[in-house]
Amino acid sequence: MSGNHPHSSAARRPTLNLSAFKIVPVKLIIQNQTLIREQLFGGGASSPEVSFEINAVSGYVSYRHRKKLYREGERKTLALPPTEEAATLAAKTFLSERYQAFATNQLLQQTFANALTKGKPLAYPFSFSMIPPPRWLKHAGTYLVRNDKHEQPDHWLCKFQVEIETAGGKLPVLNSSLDLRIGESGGGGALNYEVIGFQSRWRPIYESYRVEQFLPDTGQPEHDPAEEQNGGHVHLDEFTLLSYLLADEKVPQFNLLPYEATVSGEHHLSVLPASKHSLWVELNVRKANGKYKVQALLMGGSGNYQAHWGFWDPYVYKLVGQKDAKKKKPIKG
Amino acid sequence: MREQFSLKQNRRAAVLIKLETELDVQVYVAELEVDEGVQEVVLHVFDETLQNFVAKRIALNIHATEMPFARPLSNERTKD
Repeated sequence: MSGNHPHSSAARRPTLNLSAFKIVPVKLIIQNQTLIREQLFGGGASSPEVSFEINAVSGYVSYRHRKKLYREGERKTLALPPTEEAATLAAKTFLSERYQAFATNQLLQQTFANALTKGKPLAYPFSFSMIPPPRWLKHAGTYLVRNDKHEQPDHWLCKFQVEIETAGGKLPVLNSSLDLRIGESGGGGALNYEVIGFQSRWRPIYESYRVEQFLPDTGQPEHDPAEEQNGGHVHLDEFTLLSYLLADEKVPQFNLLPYEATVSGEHHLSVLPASKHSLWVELNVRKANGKYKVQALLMGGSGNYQAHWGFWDPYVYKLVGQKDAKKKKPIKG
Repeated sequence: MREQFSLKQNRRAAVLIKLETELDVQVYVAELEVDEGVQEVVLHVFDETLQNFVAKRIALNIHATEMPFARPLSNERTKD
């Protein structure tokens, strides 16, 4: 069983005021994707030279300029931002301008307000935008990316994560990211660079509400400041952080909810629900006698669930366009 | 022309059993037993009261070379 069992982390701590957020339904985003595309990348986004997609489950956005990203031909004089700082500034400027474009677009705001809040205006920080408010963006790094074919610099990759402002301070959103690829523009003008690639893992939110704490007396590793000062029981390689959590790209999500993420060592992350609304599932697998036994531990929620397993057997498949599934014998290696 | 495969997802209702805990929290367990050939398992949970959804997916140990669609296929091969 995982170390996430509630009994294993008992410790005292103060009661927290926790907020949760409603996520804009992806269906509404898809219905308005033409307007959204224009706000992000202008009319050029409909050109055959670019690809623009909004994931139908998560709403994550993917954009790339097919000709400008990883250019086929070698060019030693590609006019990119000259420094890491200049590239980061270009990315921040793009994100800020795009956020403003969304926030000030009355048609878009009214459309989403009508659908989400019965017409009540969506105001900062919940104005509808596929880009989070600039103050919520944390710069996570800028890197020069070279073209594999000829080793020449191709573009700058600027990475951002989302940190939500709450009454208790800024809290990170785990699994969130906005990646911008800044390359050379073909248009000339004062700015000779442009966003030629964009990948977002962010689900726009539109309303906050209070949620009750999941474990009022537990949740953090035990810490005794006096003992720690004396060099006693100290977890130097472990810390717990109140965080929000985005689901994977192919998983629907209706609410952005608080969790307690404990990082230990260099790679291990364990998660506990921080509120009673914050559902959490841990899966463990054991193999015996040619079978897999999968055990799920479900925490949080009301107890009024609908639950089902889904699984895929690679030997039961159907050819695309065919109605019935076929069973194929395993191929012995 | 290469034929394309689509995996059929099997679904099964999950039986959730509530665990007794010292704290007033909701903790449930569920189990599923599947054959060795299964590639991936996911548990979907929808909380009807809170209108929340969560899904957790786990990949099982399978060798890619055993999968019928993991190697180039010709029309002759798919007619077996």
